Amino acid sequence: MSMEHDALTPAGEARLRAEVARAADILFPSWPISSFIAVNPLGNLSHLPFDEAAEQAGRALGAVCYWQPQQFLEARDKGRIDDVDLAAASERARAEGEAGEAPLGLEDLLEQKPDRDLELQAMSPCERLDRRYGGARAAVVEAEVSKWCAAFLDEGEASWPMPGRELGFYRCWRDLAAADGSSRRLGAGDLREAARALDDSPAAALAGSLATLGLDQGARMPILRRLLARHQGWASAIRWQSERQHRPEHPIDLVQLLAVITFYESALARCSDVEWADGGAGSPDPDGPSAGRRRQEIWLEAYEWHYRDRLLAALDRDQAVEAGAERPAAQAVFCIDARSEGLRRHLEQTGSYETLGFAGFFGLAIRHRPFAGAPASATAQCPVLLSPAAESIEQPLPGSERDAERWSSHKRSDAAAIETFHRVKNDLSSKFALAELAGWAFGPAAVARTLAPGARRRLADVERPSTMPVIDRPTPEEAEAMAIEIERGIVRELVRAHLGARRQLAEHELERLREHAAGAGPAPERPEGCAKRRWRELLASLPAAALDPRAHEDRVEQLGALGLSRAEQSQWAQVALTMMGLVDGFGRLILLCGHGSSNLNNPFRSSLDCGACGGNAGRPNARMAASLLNSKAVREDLAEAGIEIPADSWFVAGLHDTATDRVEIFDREQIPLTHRSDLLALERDLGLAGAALSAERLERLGDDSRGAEPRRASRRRSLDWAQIRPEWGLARNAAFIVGPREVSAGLDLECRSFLHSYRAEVDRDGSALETILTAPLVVAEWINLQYYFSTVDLERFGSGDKTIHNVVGRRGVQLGPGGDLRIGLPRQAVFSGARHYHEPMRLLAIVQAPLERISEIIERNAVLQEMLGGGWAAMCARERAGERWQRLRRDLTWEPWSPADPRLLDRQTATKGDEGWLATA
Amino acid sequence: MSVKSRQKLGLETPLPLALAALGAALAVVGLVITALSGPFSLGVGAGPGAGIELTALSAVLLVLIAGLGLVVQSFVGRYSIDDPRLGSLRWLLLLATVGSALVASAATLLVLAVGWLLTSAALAGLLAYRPDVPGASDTLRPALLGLAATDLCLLGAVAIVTATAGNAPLDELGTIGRDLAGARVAGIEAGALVATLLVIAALGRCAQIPFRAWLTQTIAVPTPVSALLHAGIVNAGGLLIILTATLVTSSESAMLLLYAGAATTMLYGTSLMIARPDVKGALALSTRGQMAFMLLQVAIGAYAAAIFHLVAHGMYKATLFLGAGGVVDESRTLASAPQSLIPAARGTRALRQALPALLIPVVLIALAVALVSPGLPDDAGGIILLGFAWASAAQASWWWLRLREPSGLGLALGLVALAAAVFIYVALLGGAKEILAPAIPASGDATLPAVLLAPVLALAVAATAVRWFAAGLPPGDRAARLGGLQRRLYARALSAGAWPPRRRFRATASVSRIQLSGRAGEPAPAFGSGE
Repeated sequence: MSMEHDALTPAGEARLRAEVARAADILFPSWPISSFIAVNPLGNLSHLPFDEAAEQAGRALGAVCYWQPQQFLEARDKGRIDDVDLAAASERARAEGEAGEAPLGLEDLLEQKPDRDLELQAMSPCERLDRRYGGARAAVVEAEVSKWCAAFLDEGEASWPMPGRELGFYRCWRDLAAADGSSRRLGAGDLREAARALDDSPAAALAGSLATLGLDQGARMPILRRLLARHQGWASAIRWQSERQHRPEHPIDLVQLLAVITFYESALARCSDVEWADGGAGSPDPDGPSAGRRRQEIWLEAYEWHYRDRLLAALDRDQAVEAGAERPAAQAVFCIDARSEGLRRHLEQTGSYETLGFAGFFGLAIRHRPFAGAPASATAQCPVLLSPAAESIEQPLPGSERDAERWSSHKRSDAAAIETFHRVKNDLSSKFALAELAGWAFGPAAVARTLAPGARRRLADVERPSTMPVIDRPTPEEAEAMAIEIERGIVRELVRAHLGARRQLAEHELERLREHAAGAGPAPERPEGCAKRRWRELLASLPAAALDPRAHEDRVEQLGALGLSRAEQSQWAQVALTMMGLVDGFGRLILLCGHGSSNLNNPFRSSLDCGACGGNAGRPNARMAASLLNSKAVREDLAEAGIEIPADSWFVAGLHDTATDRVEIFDREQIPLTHRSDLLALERDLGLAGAALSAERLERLGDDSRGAEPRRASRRRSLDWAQIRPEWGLARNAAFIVGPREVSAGLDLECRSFLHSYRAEVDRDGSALETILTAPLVVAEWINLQYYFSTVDLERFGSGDKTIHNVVGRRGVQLGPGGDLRIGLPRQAVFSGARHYHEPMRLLAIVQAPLERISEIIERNAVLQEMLGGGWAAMCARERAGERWQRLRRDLTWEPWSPADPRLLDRQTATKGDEGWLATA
Repeated sequence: MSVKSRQKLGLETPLPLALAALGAALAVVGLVITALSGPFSLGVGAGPGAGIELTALSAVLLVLIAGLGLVVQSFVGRYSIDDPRLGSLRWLLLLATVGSALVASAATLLVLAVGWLLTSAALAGLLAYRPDVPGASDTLRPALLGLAATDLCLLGAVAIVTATAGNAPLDELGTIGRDLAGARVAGIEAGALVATLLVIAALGRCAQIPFRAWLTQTIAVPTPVSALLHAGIVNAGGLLIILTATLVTSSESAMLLLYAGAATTMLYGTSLMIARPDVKGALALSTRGQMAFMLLQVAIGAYAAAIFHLVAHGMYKATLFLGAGGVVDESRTLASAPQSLIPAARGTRALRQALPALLIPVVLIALAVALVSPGLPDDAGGIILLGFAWASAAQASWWWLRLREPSGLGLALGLVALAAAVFIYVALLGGAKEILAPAIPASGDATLPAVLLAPVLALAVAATAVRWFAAGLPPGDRAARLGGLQRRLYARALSAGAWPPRRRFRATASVSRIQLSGRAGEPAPAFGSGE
């Protein structure tokens, strides 16, 4: 194919890139499945109001962003929406919408006319040809692009990786396409020549293909958008890779992707004997919200406020003012995650515990490396809104170095064994006898795992060594010394590998080798009795072992970034304690509890872990936070700032396993003897609370477990490889409550509310509230919208049925043998059987704080104006208990909350019927 | 009756699951009885003419099939709990299990054919179970047509034999074959025709080249279904040839066809597998290679070894499929495992690791054969099959040495583990041969010479050697030395293994049209197409 077009000028390229960037705003980066992050799939359109963004994205993606009328009607039949709710929603829409709109009456809303089908805004050339003339060109393009993307983005699944990935996606693909003889079978002739003729620059190739398609200028943005929308999953993964990956090894971006897509589009469109450009160019943008859109918005509002009214009514009560005279048995700080609510509620019932809610990363944005792990194994333990501010590693406690070494050697063997198995399995000659041997071990194990899940005991698992996170930042001298120590270790390893284990060198000889490798000395003499060849090889291997001065510098720099400086530590402690409102009344024991979920055979496991820890379990953060708050230096600085932590208060770290409802306590050996009995009592009560929560959760899961003890049953569930739904995760989440625990204490919120502790009176300048509203609230909003969109359009925003998922490239899932990468939550996370389990509602933030303070914060932060003014979430607030809730209107002014059903305002009824009100919601 | 009390009585157990459990129990009882008192028959009149026979061979296979059936039934109950059609899915799985059991224990050709057709019916139902998987409805037709064509071949063969000899007992097929050798059907020598038809049926069921369309379809179904298909259904092809061996092995052309199909598939199918970036796709292509290996064993008359492979691979592949969701966790574990401080060995150091990796397994295998099972390599075939065991052991040793760089105690432990693996393998293989011996039919004159396996082994090992060489090169050199050829081969392997299978697009109803016009206004779709 000769590309007759003018060379792309820099200005032309810049314009093209800008257009691609705009076209891509219907997509949000999609994180790899190993650290699943709940996101708002329309996050790049959040500057628009919800309904407008929904329409734009819907028309590009062919997605629905609201429930369909029949689903709302069903909810009405079930009493989940009352007619008064509809009337109130309609009235609100009139009052807050554009002037001059007539309110929609009940008849209008009930009218069962199907909403105008969302028409695609534009179609790709191949789609248009297919629609006019029949055929499956668009599907062929999709299959080709998926094939190349899957191969390129693979993170180690294929044992024969795609060659040339370091060149970047476009050039790597071009070289392979130029060698791919089978492209003839696509139906567009032999494409090898055309691929060979392509420009080196992906932008030029994209411009060339667009020119071939007659899309040189004018309205090509909608078509670019549609091309990306057709490959929504891969394009979203590529957005992550090009924008968010820590250190991309294999460069790729959307321009490269589009260059490849348009290559196939133009090849297939060109070879058809028909003109593609004569079809209708999709339907133009309608001006203003359509009647259908308004109707949907009203139905959704009615559905939401039906629940919200009842929740607010339940929270609307005179709180018994806690005298606070008695010191609590212990305090326990949990993640804001809605699942913590259950454990907190049950724990409070077992004794005089005070519980608090705080983002599960405890405000510590760290990149954590597990003990003895490689640098690449570090996980970002913070919300993806932040980037890690400190590095964290674990070191063995003094005295347990030998244990640590044994453990690390054991783990290395485990990993090497797994990898060796895969190498033997994925090979042309060795896989046959492997199957013959391994089958005899696998078969009985599979029977046992299936028929008696959970009975399996781990054999010979070496106990984890006692380690501590490094919390104090090393001084430059310390960092230098640590780097040299690491380098000595490398030299020791090299000597062992080259000269054999029995050939020991003296320490000073090792030191000479290290200095030589660092370029600071001549090569040392060959020691007596060492083979010449081996010595030569050892010396030759030094340059590749990262011992040169540059590597040394890097190492020192990295080590120098470990942990926090004393100023940072104190600052963190003060901010964190103020944010959670824990500045006085400290108990003897304060539990800082992160969370994670243990389950098997589940590609979506990390979607059940802590979102505030970047889709990981919160272990390192909780441990680091506890040891910081136990630090004498930090406590001194806190005392100076007016926060006195009594000397007999001790912080312990724990992890709440949301699949089994157990809490594991870390670093027991460091807990003072005097606090052991307090800990034992706390653990006993956590056990009781966990059992109660398990019973409650199993019921929601529809798991009768044949009457087994609840904690046993949930443990078995978490260890069952056949279990498709280990737990419900954050399904049914609906509200975010900011305030002291007294606001919600004693109420069964059914694990549907995020709970963030906040005491307005200790937050003098309002900065704590500002942080809460701009960070944890945003994370909760993302989670909420991820569940919302995955529920309303399981195909476009959810990843579909788990039972047919096929993990591709260790990065995501496909449905069955191929096709686009799937994003979002699986069906089993939001549906139960054929019915939805998650109730698709936007988040309601409920804040107990002075209204002026909230308004000021909203005024300062565009993100909140967009979220609350654009209808992505709603807010109610009151200054103190006993006052009436105020609702934030779309124009960001307050008005008193008036429920659609006025009976809800009657505090007497509402209080008496707490459970009742919520239960009907 | 309340739910609780019904649970206590176990009444809520679905019938197919209960039947599968009963079947598994009976299979174990059958195995014990056969082991204690030798083979016995069931059916219309004991002795000659019985429909079902329990020999050492069928008893072992029944334990595999029924065990697999039970595992899958139990697994699917929790895995597909949201599936409104779970009930019918269970019955389809049970039907497939029963059909396979009938094939495995048939005493006559007609019973075998009935079992085969039952399995085919279940297979068709299972493959069509999820037409909602994107593209699946497009590829279903060619897949089912291919299967139907090869099933017709089986029916043709059965018809010819039955027309000649009535309801033929399997152990008399040899005589019948000799009778057929004189006859002609449509101008073709009847014995050869029957043998060829049977071989085609076997190649089809084992998804060998050129009948591979249906195997990719097995990924477009729920995971436990894939597990059953890959562990219990595909291998019926090999079993068919073994059960009718006395007849099939009398025709040289049929045996050559078997060899050609299997040898190509084994090398080609496996090279497609290693380029697959998706877990289930790689597993499916791997099954094809394993089936090819089994058919090659059959072709050279190593029936006991083939059955050994069939059973072990069934358990192996079922486990890998059922656990396919664990790959993400596993990659997390691998990523966070403690790493070696020094770069992997290259150059001469890599060679130093290669030599013991190549030689030690030879010594260990020789020792194991001499000590545990001296009768194992009774012919060239036995030795070549041990060559495959050597390839695995060498591969494992080399990677273990590279990845772990053990020394002292670690080295010794590794050696002990390798020796244990080799001894267990040889003992199992030798034991299988001995146990199965009385139930294994004699092979005919046209059984291929075992040396024909040698070039296959040599090519496979050569491919491995290239990959070792590539792994030992620094990444820069790798691209320079292997650039052009590697790109061509890779592009070919990736494209041929990709899905949907490429074809010219036709101006007929298209996938994309359905998606375009129907999509936007629909509610979240329910399971399957039937909803």
